[in-house]
Amino acid sequence: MKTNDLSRRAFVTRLASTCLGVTVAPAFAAPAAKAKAQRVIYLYLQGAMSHLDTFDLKPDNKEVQGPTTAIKTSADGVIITDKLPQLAKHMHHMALIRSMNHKTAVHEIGQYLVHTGFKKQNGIVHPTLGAWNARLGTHTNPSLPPYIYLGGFAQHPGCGFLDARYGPVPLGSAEQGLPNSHLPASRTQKELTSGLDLTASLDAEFSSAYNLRDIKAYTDLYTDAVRLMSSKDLDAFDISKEPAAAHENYGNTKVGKGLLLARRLIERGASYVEIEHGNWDTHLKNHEGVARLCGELDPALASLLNDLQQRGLLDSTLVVLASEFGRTPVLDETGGRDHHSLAFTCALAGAGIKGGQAYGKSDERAHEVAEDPVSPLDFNATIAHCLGLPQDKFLAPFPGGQEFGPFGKKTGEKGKVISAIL
Amino acid sequence: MLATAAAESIDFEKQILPVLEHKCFDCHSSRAKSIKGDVRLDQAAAIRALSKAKTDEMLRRTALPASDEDVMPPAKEHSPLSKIQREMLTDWIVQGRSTGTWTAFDHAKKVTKLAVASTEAASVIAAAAKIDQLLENKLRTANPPPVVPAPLADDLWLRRVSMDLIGRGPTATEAAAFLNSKHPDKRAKLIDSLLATEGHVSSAFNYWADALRLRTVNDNGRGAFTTKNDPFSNWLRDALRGNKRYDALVREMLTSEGTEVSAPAIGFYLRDTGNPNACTENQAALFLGEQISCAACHDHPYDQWTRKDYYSFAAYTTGISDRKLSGKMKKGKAGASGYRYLSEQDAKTIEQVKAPFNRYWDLSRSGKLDSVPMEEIFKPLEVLPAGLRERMMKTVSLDRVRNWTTMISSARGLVGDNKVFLPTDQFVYRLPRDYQYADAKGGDTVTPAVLFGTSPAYEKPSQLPFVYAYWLTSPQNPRFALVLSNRLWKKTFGWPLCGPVADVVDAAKSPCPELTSYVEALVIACGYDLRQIQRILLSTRAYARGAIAEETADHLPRLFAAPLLRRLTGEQVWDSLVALVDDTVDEKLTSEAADTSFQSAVYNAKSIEDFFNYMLDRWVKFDGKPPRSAGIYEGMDDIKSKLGEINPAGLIRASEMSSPAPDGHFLGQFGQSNRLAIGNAWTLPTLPQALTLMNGPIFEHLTKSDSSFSRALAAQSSAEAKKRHVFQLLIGRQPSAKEQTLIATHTPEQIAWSLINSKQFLFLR
Repeated sequence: MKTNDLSRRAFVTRLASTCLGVTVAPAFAAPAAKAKAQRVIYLYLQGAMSHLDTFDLKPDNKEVQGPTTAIKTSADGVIITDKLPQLAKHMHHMALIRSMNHKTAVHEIGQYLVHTGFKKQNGIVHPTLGAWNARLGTHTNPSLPPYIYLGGFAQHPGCGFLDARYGPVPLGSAEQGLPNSHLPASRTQKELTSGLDLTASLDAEFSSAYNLRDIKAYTDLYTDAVRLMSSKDLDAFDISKEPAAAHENYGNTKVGKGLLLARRLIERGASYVEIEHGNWDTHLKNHEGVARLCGELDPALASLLNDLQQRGLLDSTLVVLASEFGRTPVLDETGGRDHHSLAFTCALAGAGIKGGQAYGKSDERAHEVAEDPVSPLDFNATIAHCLGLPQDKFLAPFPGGQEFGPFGKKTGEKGKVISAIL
Repeated sequence: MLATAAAESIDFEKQILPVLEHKCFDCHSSRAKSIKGDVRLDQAAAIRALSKAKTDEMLRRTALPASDEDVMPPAKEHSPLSKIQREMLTDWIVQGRSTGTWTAFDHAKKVTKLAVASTEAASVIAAAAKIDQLLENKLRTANPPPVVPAPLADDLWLRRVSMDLIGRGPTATEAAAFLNSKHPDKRAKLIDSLLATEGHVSSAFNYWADALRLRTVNDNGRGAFTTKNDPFSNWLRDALRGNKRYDALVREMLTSEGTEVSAPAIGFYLRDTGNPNACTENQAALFLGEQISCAACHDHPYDQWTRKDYYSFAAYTTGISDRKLSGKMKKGKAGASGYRYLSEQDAKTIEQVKAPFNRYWDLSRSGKLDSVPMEEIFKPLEVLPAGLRERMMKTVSLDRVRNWTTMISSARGLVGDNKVFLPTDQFVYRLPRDYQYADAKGGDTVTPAVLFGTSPAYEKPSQLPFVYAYWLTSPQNPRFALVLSNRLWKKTFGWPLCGPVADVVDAAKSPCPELTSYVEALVIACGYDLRQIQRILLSTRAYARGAIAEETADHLPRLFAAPLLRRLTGEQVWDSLVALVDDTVDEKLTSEAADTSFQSAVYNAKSIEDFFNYMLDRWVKFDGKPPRSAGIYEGMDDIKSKLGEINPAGLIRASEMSSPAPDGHFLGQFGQSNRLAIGNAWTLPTLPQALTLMNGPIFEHLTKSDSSFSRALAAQSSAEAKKRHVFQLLIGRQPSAKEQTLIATHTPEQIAWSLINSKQFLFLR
């Protein structure tokens, strides 16, 4: 009788299906759309950001709005909360999507859906957009990992059914960067090579006796790790190289440091950096919580957009702001807002995006979508389009299985690119 | 809501059959005395044979309001189909009632609960043999024939059992003692002796901390504790050390009331402070193996749970309150005698005292100390009486100001926030305002009802947690023992008996119902004695076989003849390496037992002066830096520097740090659970793991001359003996003849490095 068999611990158990990475591209692949974005900074607001108190205010509806007040922004007619004053000045770069929606207001499921575009399915874990980009995208600096992730990690769908090397390289903290990425002084390159040779020969029998995906993955990851150690761009991981003023501008918070690190990595040609911020799960005292979180987010994201623009990188870098869902228009007795997925807001800025607009509308209570609904898969397809990922490449988790790509299933559900914001 | 369900093709066995089974079979299957209306729904052929008139009638009558006497299922016997269930049924009929490969429902597959005599449970050998017999019987008829690996030799068996029971590889001494023993029962004896060690407590703690989502870090007002100083962690450790029966352990968590000092098991409730739904849902997953989160907002799309079921269950679990939520949780008996509260004024004073020290630290960190006069920084201390203020300024050395502020925060957490109250008799539980189905209205009072079996009766609401806890852990709840047996089986063998541990299927639907039922009955017969159950599972022939290569099999209804190949958990990797550097690390587990005097003293402080004076006494006594076990104050910064640099003197096992370990710690890299969801540990390969094992500081510490590893090597006479020893310590076995050739030209240190980076080190074969 159980059907939601896929454990919430998808990350742990997802190896249920082996990854065979079967490519089923048609013989005459259409050329990829011309990419506007060469790289992505994906900021994920973990815990579900209250859309009503940030980017989708309803100042005329006091019943749902509560004490949040609106300010004008650099985009004509687009108002946001006064708790994001710095970001308001960058609104001409940003396209808000106020008509995001899906059906499941449970964190794990929503996070999975927004990251992958798909609902969880028994026995299959879908790759995140970052993993698709690692697998199918172009990478300007092959000596850096194609997908870098700073966040909680445990339930992240990661590489899904793709090979582990397309999954995110997880960082523990922004200050720490990528620890142990240099040979210790006591070891020479030659010793490293001969040590690993010995490992390989001692493991040879074991590796063939236990021919499992994870066993093979360790071989691949050691190869990648050794290559990374000789990258000239390793100090991109070191935010202590940034001047004090930069740290201050970004706000010296966890998210500030994270975005500063993301900017450094992007400057060196990393192609997809995902940063998590939260916890936005404001069940209690929603307004206090959102104000505090906005206080962290505002200088960090505004400084990032500022830096990218000053460095001439905003035209080729897509900045994504996403969250698993929004929060209820009705405040509960503790002044909290609960989970709400029928209407919420995500945003895109930078490369390929026509900024200064709000796409889609929620109703007058911010409860349901009133115009131009956008699903997580549509949102992901839009990012994939900006990155120029191929629309006609599909991969199956196992031979004969359903085929998936960053834009949707080969047969079935496909994401619609939001052309109005391009 | 339903558009999505309709858009995709319907899976009969998953989406429709459960509805038919629960709502229709009483009258429309061979289960009924006579099949009503000639509509039979337990056979594919009978379903196909239904006329359109019959299916139309099904759709019409299932849509009737509950008050209509024609409604199906009859209102007296069943709750109506949920909206989502009805729409799915409609879609399925409209789409042609496909039943896929399913042919008929097997009514014989009903759960029959076995009973096992406690004498059988007491005989480890008999019970283990019975398990092997049931498993092997089933496997004999398996197609394709099962892989049956050869039994492990003593050395690799020792490595496996050590990892499973004490959470680390065997030390040189332990290995020698076991491998050299000629005793015929040496394996059974070893299992017994390992179960009695402090290492077992440590390793069991890691396991249950993951299941209980035990966090000691900045959650819900709980300070930055290490598990040593966290009352709930210590309670859990004590319970495991004393082998408290699992049912008693669960009841204690569910019925405790008071403060963290008077009733540390309240930590279970504190974990979900402010989020009673999470507490309810996690209990369903942890104790009943059911995922009910979806039903918090709407009827579960696939499973049988309705939103009403959810809130009826929650009525048992929700009346808990804690002081932090005074606005929301007035239902509790706040103010009952015996509890000390921090007054609003005291809380404010503590913050006012802390603020200048924090400011001092911020200024010194950013090198701006010169820009503000000291008098100005510390002016807020004027809220304190002059004598105390002077004493504080004289005592607290500002170069350790962080210790002081963290100490204040932790102490404030103890007296300020953490109390739990069970419901009072005034407790009334109501449906949420947005309840959307026709069978009740938002705001209606909810009658408590459990998810399985008979709902326990109560006379007054204050009894709710008690009757619930006793029902939960009693045989009247068909899931409690089943879930625990599946959990311990999965922990031992790497594959489950009956579905994922937080989402089980009943024994009848598991791959080997006889085996599942037997292990379940055994758990009950053992009286929920966790050690005895593990003793039995580890004594099976199946456990003693070599590991099977198979991708994780949680969702595959399959049986195996042996454990699956597993990567070591993050804690096992860390603890094994730590024990190689310092093989006395387990001794620290007992010698540095928790000292709760700090908690007690702070808790009993009569006034704010008392409060600060006590902390200053403490500061003086330990010169601002008490030993690890003594103070609650140990902040994250301290832990980070201690472990980040891996100062060997500070090396401690995973169970003694904060839970989870600080961001970026080795443990997190290797998959320690972040304790955010039940069973959230992971073992996936990542690139930083490779970097850490190749370049991290651990190897340097391992090969320092005073490490246990180096000393053990030094004690070996020949180079060959040293090399053999390296193999034994790192991967639990001697090198083969072929390997001896491969390592002929390498030094023992080089071999150690290569083995630390090997798969054989990370995996348990």
